[in-house]
Amino acid sequence: MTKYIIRRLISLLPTLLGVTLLVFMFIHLIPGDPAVVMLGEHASAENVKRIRQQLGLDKPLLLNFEAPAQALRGEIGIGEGVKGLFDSQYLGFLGRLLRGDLGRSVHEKTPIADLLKLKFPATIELSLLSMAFAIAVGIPAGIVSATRRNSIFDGLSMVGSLIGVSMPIFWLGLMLIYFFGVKLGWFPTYGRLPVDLSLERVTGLYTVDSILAGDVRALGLALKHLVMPSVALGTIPMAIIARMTRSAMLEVLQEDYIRTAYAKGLSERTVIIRHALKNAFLPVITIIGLQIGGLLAGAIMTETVFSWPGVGKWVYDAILARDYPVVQVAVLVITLLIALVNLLVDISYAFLNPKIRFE
Amino acid sequence: MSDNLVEVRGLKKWFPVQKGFIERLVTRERQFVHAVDGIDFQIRHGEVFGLAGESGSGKTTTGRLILRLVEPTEGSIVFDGVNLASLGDEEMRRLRQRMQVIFQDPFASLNPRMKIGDAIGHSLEIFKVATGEEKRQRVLDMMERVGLTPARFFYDKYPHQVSGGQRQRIVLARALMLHPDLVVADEPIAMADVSVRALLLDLMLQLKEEFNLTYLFITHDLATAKYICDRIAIMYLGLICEMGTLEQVYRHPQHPYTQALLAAVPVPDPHARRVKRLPKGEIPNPINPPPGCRFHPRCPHATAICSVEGPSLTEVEPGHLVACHTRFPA
Amino acid sequence: MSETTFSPVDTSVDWAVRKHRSLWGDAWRRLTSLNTARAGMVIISVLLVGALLAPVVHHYDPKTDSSLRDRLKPPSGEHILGTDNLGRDVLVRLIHGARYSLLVGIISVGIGLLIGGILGLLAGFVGRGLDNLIMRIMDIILAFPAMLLAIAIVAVRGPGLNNTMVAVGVVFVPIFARLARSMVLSIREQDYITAATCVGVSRFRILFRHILPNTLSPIIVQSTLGLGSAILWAAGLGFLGLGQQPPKPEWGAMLSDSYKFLAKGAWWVIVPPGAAIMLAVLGFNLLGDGLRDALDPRMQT
Repeated sequence: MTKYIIRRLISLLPTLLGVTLLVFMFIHLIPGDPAVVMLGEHASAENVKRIRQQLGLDKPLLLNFEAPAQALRGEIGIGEGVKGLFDSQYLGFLGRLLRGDLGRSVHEKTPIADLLKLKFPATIELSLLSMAFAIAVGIPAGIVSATRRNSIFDGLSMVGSLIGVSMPIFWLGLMLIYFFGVKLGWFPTYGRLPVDLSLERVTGLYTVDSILAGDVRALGLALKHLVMPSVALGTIPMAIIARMTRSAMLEVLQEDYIRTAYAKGLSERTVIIRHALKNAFLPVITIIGLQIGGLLAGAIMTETVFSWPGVGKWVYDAILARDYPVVQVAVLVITLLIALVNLLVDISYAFLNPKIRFE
Repeated sequence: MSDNLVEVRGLKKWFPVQKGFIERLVTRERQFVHAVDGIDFQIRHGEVFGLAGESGSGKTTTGRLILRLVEPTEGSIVFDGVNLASLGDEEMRRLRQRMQVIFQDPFASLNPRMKIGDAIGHSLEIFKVATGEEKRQRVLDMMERVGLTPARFFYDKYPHQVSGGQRQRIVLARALMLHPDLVVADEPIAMADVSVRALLLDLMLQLKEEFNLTYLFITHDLATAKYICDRIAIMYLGLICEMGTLEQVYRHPQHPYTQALLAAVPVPDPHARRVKRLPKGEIPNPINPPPGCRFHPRCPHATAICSVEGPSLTEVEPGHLVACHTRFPA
Repeated sequence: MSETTFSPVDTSVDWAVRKHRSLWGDAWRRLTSLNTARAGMVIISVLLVGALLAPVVHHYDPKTDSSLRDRLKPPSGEHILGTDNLGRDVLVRLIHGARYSLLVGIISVGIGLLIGGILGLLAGFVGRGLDNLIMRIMDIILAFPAMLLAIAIVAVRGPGLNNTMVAVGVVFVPIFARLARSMVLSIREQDYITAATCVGVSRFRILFRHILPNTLSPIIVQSTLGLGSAILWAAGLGFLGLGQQPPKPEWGAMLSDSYKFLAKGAWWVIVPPGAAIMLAVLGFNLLGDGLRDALDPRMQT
């Protein structure tokens, strides 16, 4: 098992390296001088110079061949020449990342790592709750649809899930805001907590923090703020999970061992829970894992609509402000996170599937 | 010109075991599947040469080697005096006109998006033998000859619109279109309904006479082989263990494996006593074949030498070759 | 030629088989028998009519369209879907917006299909080093979530319809590359390819005559579903202000233009464009699902 995990981790490395390269190249896709684009045309020469230096824009992109050439001509030492070869923008970027230095925001001048620590928990909290919603609704709906195949419930839930996968989540968010926020006034329409409420920050997950602080009112408010964004973000995964659960269940229910179980005289309840569900779970787990990527990308839309101060809204604001170092880091963090989650899903899949054996 | 259409000498095919990129960096040794591990035989002009064995014995790979669909690891194949290894791609492509193949699954061997007539006549176009109306006429003729009648009814149909037995006839027609010398038939009737098997075998024999064909008939079923073959070679784990005329091998099998296989063939007589001498266990892993005689772990007569030294194929009577240390005449 | 004149020789002739019907004809018959696919086709036809006919029937200039007297009027006989904050008729803009969605969908799927398809075919057919190189790069692109990648590309290249199409197209490249490659790999192992080799068909011809036509069905299905995703992503970019720019009546841009008026209760500026996006996506999803069933080779017996 350990060997399998290590092998998977190693096989992930080239892809991750490629991801960092692509994210790095990102700045160089900007038409024109990135420093000028970021600061605007009226930026002072001084500022442009500072940004150029900060991003190392004067250095060569991938490898610095000038240094070894100089060493060959005897202008500098061989050691310096070899060392200088690696003095490039990309390797500098990679080196800083590995040291945990995520750079600085162009405009705010705050270290990006600090901003990330601030924004990250908000997105995690939202994603977890959306996933919880998607699973809590999607799996039961799929099971009932499969066992009551072609019933009215099955028809409705399958039409619903088809609409769900076709749903623009930003629009769904707006509709929720209109009906439950503006019209009915049930839920707050933006943010994570009322501005006047202060909560001691421990984990950054406000639900957890309010429990830690023993503040029931804050917990209630935090949950109230979470409801609409979670529903908006969770709708697409919910629809996909429901469809997958249904088809996996239908497939399993056709198997001979299910017929055998019925023939043994087991109740329908026992057959479905003990025999069918257990075997239908594997594909469902895989599909749940695959939704995480869509969830984190969908967070950009959802957080923008609900002014949710997470990574998604942060990326969006950074794009509008042309704060590309922030965009870079946020894209990288989200992508790496998804890669890790996918790895975890793979491993748990291997772990749960009795058919896979590790040598 | 010699008697032999095909001469196979010391033929070997080892397939490397696929490994991941990282694993290749970590482990040095490479492993191989010894699919075919050094075999010699000849196929004479105009005969039906059978190649029989369990799945995994290397019989299909041998067929593919002769068609040069896979490149041999070692050894040579001489087709009508021409060493196949010496041919370039284009020369080989031209020579392919003279050797054709019929696969086990006729459905899989027909392009689902090609009409039956086009599939049969494809080779005529490829080698610019005939086009247009002439091609159509030749295809229709051939379809009649293999029993696809009425030919015009089938010409514009797609493979999924006809029955399994008809598909095998289509494949036969396609193989014969360029009048080849050799037809490699790889389990040609295994997928057909039992009711049409005999019909197909008879058709193959009839076409052999009409077109002067030579067959390499690959099968796992000794009863089928008995029906159609003139000579037969029994393969086990990439090696030939017994070879001879039908009479020699079926009447006087000398290799314990052949004996076991023949004992397993059903006899249409309920009172016939059957000596149960089936081999023990499964066919071993061809990645690490057993040392010595490959059959010894399953052989009821194995002696000490069998696990040390592999027996070579020796002639026990003219034309009858056996690879066994103990040789138990049945 | 009538069927009754035939004299059956082979007893296994399946006489239930009707006269020659092409493969595509069979698929079409199966497709039109599916209710979901029919619903999808109706939606897409409406979309097509809006996109193709609207500019012909009625000239619309978004730059001059505004009527300050009619700002934010709810639906009425005069304006069936009401008016927006500049007094523009929502329905008119909705109909004229259809073309953007369709255009983005077709162009971006086209980009993905062309580049991805060629890369995938090459990877699968040439194999070895080239396969490894191409597919590693595709893996890297696939590591990014689709929407995030599209946003990032538009973010650096600048907002607008053209960059939206490029960005969404790039997202499709690895998807089609993987599909094409896996198709080639599975078809290449089929006996009929070996049989074609034996008949002396050249590698080039095998690729174009035998492999390519058999990759069509899954590619058609994937393209149809891709059109839905492309419309969704492009609308998302429009909503974020990164896609087609106002005042052009692109549906996502319409939403981003006017969602601030929700607080004033103007639901009619929000419901129609979003519903249009959803229906368009739904239409392609329904048709795609239907095509998958209709073109399934297992059903061709």
